[in-house]
Amino acid sequence: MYFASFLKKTFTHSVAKFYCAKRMTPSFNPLMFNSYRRFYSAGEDELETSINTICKGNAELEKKLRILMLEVEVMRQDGRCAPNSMNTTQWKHLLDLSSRNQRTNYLTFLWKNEKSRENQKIKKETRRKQFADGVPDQEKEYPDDLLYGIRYQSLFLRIRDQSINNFDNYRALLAMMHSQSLVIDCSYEEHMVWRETLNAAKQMTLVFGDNRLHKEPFNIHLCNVNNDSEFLKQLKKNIPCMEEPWFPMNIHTESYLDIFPREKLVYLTPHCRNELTRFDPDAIYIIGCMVDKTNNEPISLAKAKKDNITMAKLPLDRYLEWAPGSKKNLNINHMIPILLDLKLTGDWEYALRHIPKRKLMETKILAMQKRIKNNPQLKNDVLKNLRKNNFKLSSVNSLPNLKKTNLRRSLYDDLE
Amino acid sequence: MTSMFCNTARLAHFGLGRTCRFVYKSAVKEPAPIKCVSSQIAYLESELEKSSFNWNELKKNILFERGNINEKNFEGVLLKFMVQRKKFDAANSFVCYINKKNEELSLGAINGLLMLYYEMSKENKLIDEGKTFILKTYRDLYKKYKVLDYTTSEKLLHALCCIGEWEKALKVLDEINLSSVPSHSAYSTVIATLLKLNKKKKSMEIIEKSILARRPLQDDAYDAWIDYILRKYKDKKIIEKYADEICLHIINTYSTISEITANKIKDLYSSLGWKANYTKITKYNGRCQSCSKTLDCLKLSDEEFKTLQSNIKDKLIIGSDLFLKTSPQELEKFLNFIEKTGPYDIILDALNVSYSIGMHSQATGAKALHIVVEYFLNQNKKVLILGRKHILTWKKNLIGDMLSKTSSFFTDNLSQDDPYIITAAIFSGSHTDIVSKDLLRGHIFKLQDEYLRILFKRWQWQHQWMLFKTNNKHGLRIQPPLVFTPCPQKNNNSWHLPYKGEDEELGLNIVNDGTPNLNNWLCLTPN
Repeated sequence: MYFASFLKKTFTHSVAKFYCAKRMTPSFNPLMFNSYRRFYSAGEDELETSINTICKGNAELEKKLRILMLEVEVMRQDGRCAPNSMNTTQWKHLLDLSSRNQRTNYLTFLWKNEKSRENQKIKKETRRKQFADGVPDQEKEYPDDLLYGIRYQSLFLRIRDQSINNFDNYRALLAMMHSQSLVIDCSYEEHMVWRETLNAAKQMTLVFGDNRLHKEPFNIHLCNVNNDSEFLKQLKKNIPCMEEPWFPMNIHTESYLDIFPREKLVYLTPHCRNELTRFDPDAIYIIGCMVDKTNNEPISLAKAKKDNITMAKLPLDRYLEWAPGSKKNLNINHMIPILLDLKLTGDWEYALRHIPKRKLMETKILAMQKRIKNNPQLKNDVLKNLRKNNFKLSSVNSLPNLKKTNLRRSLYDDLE
Repeated sequence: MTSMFCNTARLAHFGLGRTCRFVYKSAVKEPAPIKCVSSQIAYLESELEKSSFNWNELKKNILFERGNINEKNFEGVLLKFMVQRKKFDAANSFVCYINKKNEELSLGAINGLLMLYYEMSKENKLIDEGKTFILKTYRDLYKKYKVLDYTTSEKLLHALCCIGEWEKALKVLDEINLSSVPSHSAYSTVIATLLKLNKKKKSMEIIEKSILARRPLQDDAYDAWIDYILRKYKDKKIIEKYADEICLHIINTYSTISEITANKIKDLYSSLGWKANYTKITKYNGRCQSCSKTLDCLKLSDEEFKTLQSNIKDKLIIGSDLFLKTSPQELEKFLNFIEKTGPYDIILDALNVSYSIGMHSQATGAKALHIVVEYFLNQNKKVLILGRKHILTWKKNLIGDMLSKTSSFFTDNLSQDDPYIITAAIFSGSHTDIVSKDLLRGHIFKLQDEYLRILFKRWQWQHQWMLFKTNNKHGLRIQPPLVFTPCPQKNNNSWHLPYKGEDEELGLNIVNDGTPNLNNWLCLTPN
């Protein structure tokens, strides 16, 4: 009896800390918003524990943290976007941000997450109700009938995710033994913002997945990895079994220069001038793991120059028309499928199909066509403008130096 | 028909890349998207039109509708809403309702009330209740929370200023610095309040602080300053002396005042018997059209030039990583080269010059380069051409002649040549000019320090020749650097100050060639 009540007490106390946990009390209705009040008032000592763990006695830090907590509280009461509850890691991150605007953006991000979780709960609740009240789609004619279907009796064996994972991991492990190496350079942490680091980790998980799915995977090496970095922490969150001994990816803290011979290394960077003409199965390609939305400097170029490694870029302009305004710096989760297909077939057109269509000219033209079709005044304006800039429609055929004529130059032209 | 448009758009991209962008920009503006107003806001707007209010019912109805207002932020949001629409009666009635509830006021409500009283006092409608409330809140807030956050502090500061409590306001201003830099409005309001209460020395201190925090003065601060001078001094000569202080402040901070402040200053000087007019400055000789005086050319002094020299290489070429723009071997080669071949008169940015007519082929590019080089050689100037290695691959008959008559340095194709051009010019001496159409804004950003940036801009105005495409004989117009410096300045007792006029706001037809707007200046001349 005592044990049961003790259990209940600890359970409800711990539930108060986790706003997303399912409550035992039947009266909980996510549509009632005064449930937040319970969490807020129950969290007074929770705030104190957060302060103690983060500040560890540093008076100045504690002062700043208290100001930030007050700031968040005022934002909640002011009508601006701020989440109703935050955990210790989130407070710590808020402390590290340097300007007020950054804090506002971060809090808006947390608020949006909270709201979307609430909305999902509401949807789930309504769906569950619908399901509970609904009519079953198959009726039993006699009481001892068997129902056939996915949820009842079926001849299909359920294939679980783990089975497919094991199947793909086996292929990836074979690749580790026999296949070509590919290096992903993770030394760009200091050039990335926190949000970009998270994006990079996400792209890395996609890379791992795409690689092991392919018919002939690469043997992927992560080099220059920093053990305390946010990138590795997030990657471990995404792939929890990364530290296991059977995991089919190599993680090194040393640089690629210490592991591979320098003559074989080729750094793929979009900032250099010589194009990659053919895929060399003996070379070891290096790709920089960087999300460079904020930082436009040619950092991978600088790195390759410093380490004195051959550089190359993909021959994008030869095979595709690029839209104006899109960057030619590709994500790693686009690069790896391109290189995989290139290794398999050697066909550039086939390999470059992985580049997202939004970067290409075709999408822009289609979008423009659509807009002109729906808006006749726009059509007139376009024609007027073309005429004003002396662009005669009749001179269409006589435009000099059309890129199209050079497009069909293929790999074979560059041999020898 | 649609396929033809497809072709034209595609070919527009190929042949005349820029045309595509013109098409986008001047296209008919699609109708502005309807702002998504939540049903709560719509309901509120309709309710507040009435004259009598039942707050309980209003609250129940609002919480029932969809939107972001909930139990917690109801009071704060409602007060904010009413203050923004200046519905003071409704707000006062709501305040009575809240006070009747006998609960402790939430922070949102406190913020809303402070905002309300500040806005009311701006329109001279402040009631005594407001004053007592502000003082009481100041005491209570600091007792409860040892330090306040940014939003509450700002609102408290504005409220304290409007009732004249300047010591408390200054204390709050210091506290804001713990979490963030105080806003423009905070500094200006405090300065205006101090001046209204005749605390000149203190206000000067705060003005110094605001300059350090990069918060230039706003209209109300200038307004209060002018009123203070007119209130305190009656003798014309003394008023002139103190009015000059204002102009000196504008000059030292290189600020551009707003049109309203310009009007006020104009009126002030007119009342003193000066000739105060709006004027334009002609570009090629720097002459003010109203008083016919030429603006000074604020040449860089030796010290200033030395500062620039010592910083330019580190900031522009080396930056955070030398390899981003070039390599150490190249930098060494370059430094040896400019030491050996000595000071130059003109440095050309070869690629920029050759692209200025439009680079249809190597011949047109080389021709542009040729024209410019000939122009300077005819004036017996020593020329240095800086470019990239691939220029050396152009046909020999086009460039060989030029290269023999001038010095030249070519960087790797992968390196950036711009920082080298600027460094060469500055190391060479204070008489060297550069020729380039580039506005060098990226390099100004790299300097990071405000003082260095101003020095660099002054140097740039005096030493940069620009090229423009024209329809004359050569197809090229070579524009010499400015003979004056377009900064706010004093010339022999008359002041020339730029201000931000209305046409700048609209951004009409302004070709950016690096010089600030010369059409909106204020000319103040004594009689």
